This record gives sequence, C-alpha cells and structure tokens, in this order.
Amino acid sequence: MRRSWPILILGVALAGALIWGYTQNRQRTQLALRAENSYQQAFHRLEAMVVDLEDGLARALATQSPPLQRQLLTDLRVFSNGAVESIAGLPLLNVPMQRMDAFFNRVRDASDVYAFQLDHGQGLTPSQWSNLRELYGQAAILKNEMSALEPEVAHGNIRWTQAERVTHYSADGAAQTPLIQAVTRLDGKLQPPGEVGAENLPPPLQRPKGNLGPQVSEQTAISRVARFLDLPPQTAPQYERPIDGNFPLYVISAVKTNNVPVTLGVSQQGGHIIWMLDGRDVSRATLNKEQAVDRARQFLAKNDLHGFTERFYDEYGDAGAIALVSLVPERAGLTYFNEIINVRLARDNGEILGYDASQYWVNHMDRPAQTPRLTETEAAARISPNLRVSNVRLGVMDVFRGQEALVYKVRARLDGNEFDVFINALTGEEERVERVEVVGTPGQDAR
Amino acid sequence: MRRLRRILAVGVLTGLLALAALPALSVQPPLGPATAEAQRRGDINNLRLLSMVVCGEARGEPYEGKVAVASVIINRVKSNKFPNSVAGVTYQPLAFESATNGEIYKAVTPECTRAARDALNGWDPVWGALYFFNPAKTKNKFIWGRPQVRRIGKHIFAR
Repeated sequence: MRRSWPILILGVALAGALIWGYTQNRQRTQLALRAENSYQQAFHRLEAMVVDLEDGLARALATQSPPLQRQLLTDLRVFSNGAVESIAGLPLLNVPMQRMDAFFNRVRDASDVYAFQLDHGQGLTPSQWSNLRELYGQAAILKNEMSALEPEVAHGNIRWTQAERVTHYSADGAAQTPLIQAVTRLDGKLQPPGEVGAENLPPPLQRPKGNLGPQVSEQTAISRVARFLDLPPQTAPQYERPIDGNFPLYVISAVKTNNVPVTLGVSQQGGHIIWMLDGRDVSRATLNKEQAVDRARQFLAKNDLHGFTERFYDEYGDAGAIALVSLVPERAGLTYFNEIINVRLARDNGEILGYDASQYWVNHMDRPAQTPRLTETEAAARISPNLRVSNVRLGVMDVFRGQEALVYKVRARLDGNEFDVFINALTGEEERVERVEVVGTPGQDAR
Repeated sequence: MRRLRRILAVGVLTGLLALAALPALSVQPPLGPATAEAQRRGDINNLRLLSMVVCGEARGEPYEGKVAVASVIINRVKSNKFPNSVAGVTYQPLAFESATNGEIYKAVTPECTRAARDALNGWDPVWGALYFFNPAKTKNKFIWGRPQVRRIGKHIFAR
C-alpha cells in the first residue's frame, strides 16, 4: 500500500496535466480564432468602404447639383476615413502600402477642398472633375482587386494571423505570406503617390509661410542657444544632428547648471529657437497666474518677441506647479491668432522649462494691410442671437487649410459654455466656431 | 528511495498547483480611479491612455524620450495614414509592444503623465516622427527603412 501511493499521485498528476494541457490548447485555439475573426471583420469592413467609395465617386461624377455634390463629397470623406480605420485594424502596419494610403488621402483632400468650395458658391472646375474621374478609376481597380481577394480570405485559404506573425516588430519583415503578397500586389496596381499637399499638416511637416532668414551654421545655432537659456549651461551645448524636411532644424542639447538636461530645436533658416524642452519636476507653486504670465512675456521680450498677449493659461504637474502660458502677438491693432507661442514655466522660481514657437514661425510673415468692412458691432450682430457677447477682437486667423482671413473673434456665452465665433471682417461670414476650453483641458493647442 | 519518491511526488503536485495558479497572475488593467489631477480634465481618456503608453514604452527612458513617444502617438492621430484617436493608434495591431505584453497596464508615474501633457500641448522633440524602435531588438526592414529623425535614449525615431 505504502509503495503504491506515489504511483497514484503521479497518475493523478499526469491526468491533471493532460486535462490542463487540453484546456490550454483549446483556449489558445479559441483566442487565435477570435483574433482571426476581428481581422476578418476589419477586412470586410474595408471592402465595404471601397465599394461605397467607388459608388460615391461614380455618382459624384454624374451630378451637377451643388447640394447633391456636397452631400456625396461628405460621404466620400466618411468612406475614406472608414477605409483608413479598417486598414488600421489589420496586421499590416509594417507592410508598405504607399499607393493605397495616397489614394485614400487624395479622396479625403478632394472631398474637403471641393465641399468647402461648393459651400462658398463655386462649382467644380473641369480639372477638379477630371481629378474625381481619375480617383474613380483608382477606386474601380481597388474594388475589383478586393473582390478577387475576398473569397480567398473569407474561406480561410489565406490567414491574417499568419501575416501578423511574420510582420511582427521583431521579425525581419522579409517573410512573405500569401496575404502580404496579395496586398502588395494590390497596392502595386494603383497609381504611384504624387506630391502630398502639406497645407493640412502639423507644424513639423509644414513649410513656414514667411521667410525665416538666411541659412545659419551650427555654431551660430549653438551661440543662440547659450543666449536663450535662462540658466547657463554647465558644459558647452552639444550639437546632435540636423532634422531635414519642410522645416529643417538643428537639435542642440545641454545640461543646465541645476543638472537638468535640456534639448532645443533651432531653425536652420534664420537660427530661431523653435522649441525647448526641460523635464525638471516642480512641486512647489509660489507664482500666481498673473506673475506667471508676466514672466512668460518678459522672457519673450528678452528674446526680441514683443507685444504678446495671453491666449490661454493652464497649470499641471504635481500640485499644478507647472504653468503653461500660451500667447499670441498683437501688431498695429491686429491680433495674429495663428502665431502661437507656448511657454512652460516653473511656479517655484519662474524658470522657463519649455518653449514652443513652431506655430509662430510657421505662420509668421509680412502680410498686406487689410481694412475690415464690418465694424465690431456689426460683427457681433452676425453671431447667433442665442449667445451673449462678452468681447470682440480683430485679427488674423487660419480659416481653411492654411488660408488666412481677417476676422473678428467674438467671445460669447451660451448656458455654461464659452465660445469664440470667428466672423470674416470682409464678408461677414461666420468662418469658424471654437469652444473655449476650461482651464486644465489638455490638447487644445494640438491643432 | 522512499524519501526520493516522496520529494518527487510533492514536487509534481507543487508544480501542478503553480500551473493552475498561472492564469490568476496574468496582467489586469488598473481598476483604480484616475488621479485627482486627471479627473479635473475634460479629456481624461486621451491623457490617461497616452500616459499609459508612455510608461509602457518608455519607462526608464529620459524625460525627453517619454515626450517623444507621446508625440509619435499624437503625430499618428494627426496623420491621415493612421486611426484618428489615441485609442485607435494605441491598440492598432503590431503597433506597440507594450499593448501586446501588458506593460501599459502597469502603474503610471506622474512623470509619464507630465510627458503626455507636454506632448498634447504641442511639444514635439522628434519633429513629426511616426515610428520609433529599439535598434537592439528590431530587425524589421520596414522600420529600419524609414527616414530617421533622432535617437533619444534607447529609441530611434523615424518618419
């Protein structure tokens, strides 16, 4: 009896291990199937979007009624967005699909621009019509290719989870599953991407509108950095490597005398400080809002940036000890709402911890003088009568994809919410309405 | 010999018990409430999820590297080639290792939240980068083929 109990235990253990192994295997299979199903869903959604896109483009070509065209273009935007979101649901992140990306971008851009034009009473030009026709041709190719691929995918002859395994970040990316081959082939049938419109991109990818000045050397950039920092660097600032593109920068790093590393981006043209980032944590807040805003304005003035007024203020970090002051310049009675500079400062000693003038330098330029055709009172009368106006300011603002207009910013209130309504100072049209965020809402500058 | 058998049997049983306990050890999303700071914000989800990815991907990295990771996510949200939301970008298949291995569900430090805030407020130390990778861990040709912008800590950032 004594001899047999270990055998019994081992027997039970073996049976337990077998049951456990079986359960694990079943769960694994189910999980893999669930992953495959969600990829299948994304693929079929993509196919549906492409079908809708092809149909929408065909109908947009066949009508000349502006309201109908407007409606079809809005639908096209929804479908192209939906297609991009569906592709994002597939394990294709590391598979180059430049042509497909470019196609959906072109549809989105065309629908944005043409719809805006139609809203302003202008019909499509012959070249825009040809562009839509060409996009229709691409959509038709895409639709046919997708429907040829669909039975293969639907019957599980080719699997998404297999594609996921070989395109994983740690895989070398050279492996080709039938699915990746099919997708690559499909991409190759579309038109190669042309020049991408940069007007709707965030500042790093946008070409500055004005002339920033002549090309400066790395040494000049380094000397500008030394002058810019309010705490002198401990050691000589180090030059990293340049960043090229539409808005080329030098990147320079240094360690401040308080041992905190700081990095700066300096424009290669003109040698302007574009951004500065210092990660010091602050836990004590002694400066109040007024003092923080004053400190930010003084800092800008020290760097030859004059006439700035507060646009937005926020506090965050431990105990709200970091202040974010967002400012815009005022010149000759006009506020330049798009020339934004953000200054981040420590509320313990007023040290400047961060600086971001990318939107300022992208939008800053000499502009021809313009005189408003509306008065402040007339502009205020143009907004919805349901709002209560608190103040009106004349200035310059981006109204559509980098296009500027002379506008009145009418700040007004409805119930518990505050809004800025921008009224075109020449046409009286309501160009844009923005909600004034309550202090503490991040991301409102991420436009 | 008898002792050996006993040890063996106990060993097997302990092993089985440990295996049975394994699922209970798997990573769970944090259930605690958002911090008081985050709660007063309108955009809690963006900030909270962004901070989670920052910590998951750049825990040990310098402050600038943390802001850079948050910037990549925001740049993807703004890009026409990626989903239009922080959640869409974060959970995109194959996008972030930390979402696959559960690192993003570990405790978020105030530094990660601060870095996420800075990126949301517009700071972008990687100037429009859409990708980042750890060169020691990645062989993927697609990622290596992207034009590189900067190297911060262990990560290379690319457009």
